[in-house]
Amino acid sequence: MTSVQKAIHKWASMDASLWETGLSPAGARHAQRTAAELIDTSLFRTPDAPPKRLLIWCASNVFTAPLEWVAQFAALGTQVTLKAPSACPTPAEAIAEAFEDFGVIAHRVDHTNALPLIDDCDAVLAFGSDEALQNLEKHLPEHLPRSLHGHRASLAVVRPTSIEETARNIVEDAVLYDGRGCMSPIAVFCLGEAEGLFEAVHDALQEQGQRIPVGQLSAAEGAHSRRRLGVARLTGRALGQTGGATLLIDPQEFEFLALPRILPIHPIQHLDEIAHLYPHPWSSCATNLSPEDVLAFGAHRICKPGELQRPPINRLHDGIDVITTLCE
Amino acid sequence: MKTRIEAFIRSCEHETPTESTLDRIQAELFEWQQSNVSNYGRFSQLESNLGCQNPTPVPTPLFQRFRFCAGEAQIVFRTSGTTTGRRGVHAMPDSDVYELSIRTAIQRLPLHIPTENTVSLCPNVAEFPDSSLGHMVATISPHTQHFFSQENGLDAQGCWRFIQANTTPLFLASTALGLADLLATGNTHALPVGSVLMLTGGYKGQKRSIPEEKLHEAAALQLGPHTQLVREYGMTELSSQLWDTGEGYVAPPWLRVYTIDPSTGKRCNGIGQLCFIDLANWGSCMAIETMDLGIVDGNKVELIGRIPGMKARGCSLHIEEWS
Repeated sequence: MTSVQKAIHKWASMDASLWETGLSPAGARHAQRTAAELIDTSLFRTPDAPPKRLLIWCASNVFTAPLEWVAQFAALGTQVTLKAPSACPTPAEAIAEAFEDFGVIAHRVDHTNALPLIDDCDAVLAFGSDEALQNLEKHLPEHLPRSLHGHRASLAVVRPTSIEETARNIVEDAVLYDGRGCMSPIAVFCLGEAEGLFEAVHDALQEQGQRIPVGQLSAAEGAHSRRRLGVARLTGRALGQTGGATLLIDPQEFEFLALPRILPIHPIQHLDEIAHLYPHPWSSCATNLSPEDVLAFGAHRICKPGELQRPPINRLHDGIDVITTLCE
Repeated sequence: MKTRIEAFIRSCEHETPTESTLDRIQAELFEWQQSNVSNYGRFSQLESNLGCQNPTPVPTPLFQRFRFCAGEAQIVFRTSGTTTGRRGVHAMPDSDVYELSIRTAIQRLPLHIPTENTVSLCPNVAEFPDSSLGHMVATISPHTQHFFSQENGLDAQGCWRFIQANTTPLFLASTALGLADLLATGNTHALPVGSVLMLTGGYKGQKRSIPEEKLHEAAALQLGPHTQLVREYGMTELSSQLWDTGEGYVAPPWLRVYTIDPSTGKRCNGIGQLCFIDLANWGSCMAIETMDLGIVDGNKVELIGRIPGMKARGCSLHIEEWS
């Protein structure tokens, strides 16, 4: 086992349920386990000029997000500094603790007070809201390599074949991080008869909810969820409630909005019907159609249902080769 | 059902009904609305099928998309749309119970409002017929002739001229923004004893915002210490209002208020999302889930403010904002 693998193992053996991630204890551990499993160190690259010092500006919605980057850059000998998100700093601190032999440190400071950290780095990798990143970018020296990743979401486009398996896979994607990550599906477009899928997704969501309960919703998430449920009740069908509901709802009612464990299923007859949705900043698209069929959405990654939250380590991130970008 | 609700509200003018009486009439109206207000019937079908006696509250943003009205709407009130850009619509078969609710609530207040001499800084219903606030002021003071709220802003100087020439007790009905504009002139004039200042609304969507306490202090300073302040809390989606004559906002008996935990939607104590069951909404939708937070103690409400972070985001509502 390499030193990096040992650090990942150390991180994976910590109790993520204590990190105040907003997920349920089972949800936090599930996300932790999944993230650790995905890091295949044999696929790590060895660029010629890695940055000596990398600052990773972390967001609070996917607490495992920095792990893969810390692991890869630590393996390259880069000194990694984490700017922990004010809303949820403990997971970043846990990563720093696991990688302490590599000199990884985490700072628990707000955005403004974190700005001096920029002076002590050779590259910046950042995640957060578009506004926060725009603001951060204003403070970055022109020459500084950076890879900034704003808010995105994912979708699923499926035919109702192997309905129960498709439903289980969609729900697995939706349950991780309670649907808050950029690789979480915020909508499922179903070509053809969607009732069967709607009911199967509901069953799978309830079953998963027993195994991995939903975590804490914010007040706004709760209020938005009830509003979405109301729209579905008035225009289609809704099963479940706040924190775990499946909606069968017209594609015209689509909203680019991530809500914890609210899964809207939009029946469509042709992909052309949803052409107006193409311009959204999609991260990934899960489909059991041919990948060519969903290219027009512009998602940077196309995969099968159930793989949305399990990206390969050496993928392009939002279409960007992060390693190359930061190792200029 | 309308006659039944009218009789009930009238009975509340001098006496407070028992909880069991309220429960009974609430259940009757809930059942009636499920059959007669088609959108509300669909909305609350699940709870109804489960035998739930409590009416399911409709989130106010749904009024931007759907009409909840028994039969054809004769009256339509619209929200300002300042929060989202989309205007909510409260459609009702007629305004009879709406007006009765306002008049009865005013009669229950422990003070006299000199409605015969009203100055309004609220929308004039003649110019803005879909303004529920304008309609409320017109119901309280049917003969109001002195409107200083204009399409292009407040005629503050005209209002001051009227106030300074006035010698009898005055009823000054104003929005918070209107009053802030009026006081911003710096003028002062002590209103006659017996005058009442009714204040409503906040600064939604406005750049200017003065803390409420500061506005009250300025009003006392510039309009004199004898002016009784009455605060009103209402919304387009409700037919009834809460009134504060100095001891906090109080709901009339036919307007039940409770809080839910905004995260779960379950009833809660302490700070929560305000929900109302308004029997005066007999012909529209009796149960409303607001986007406001507050604390409820019996029929008294302490307002806390809007639910934070209601602006919807694509990836997450949790992503940290720049601070």
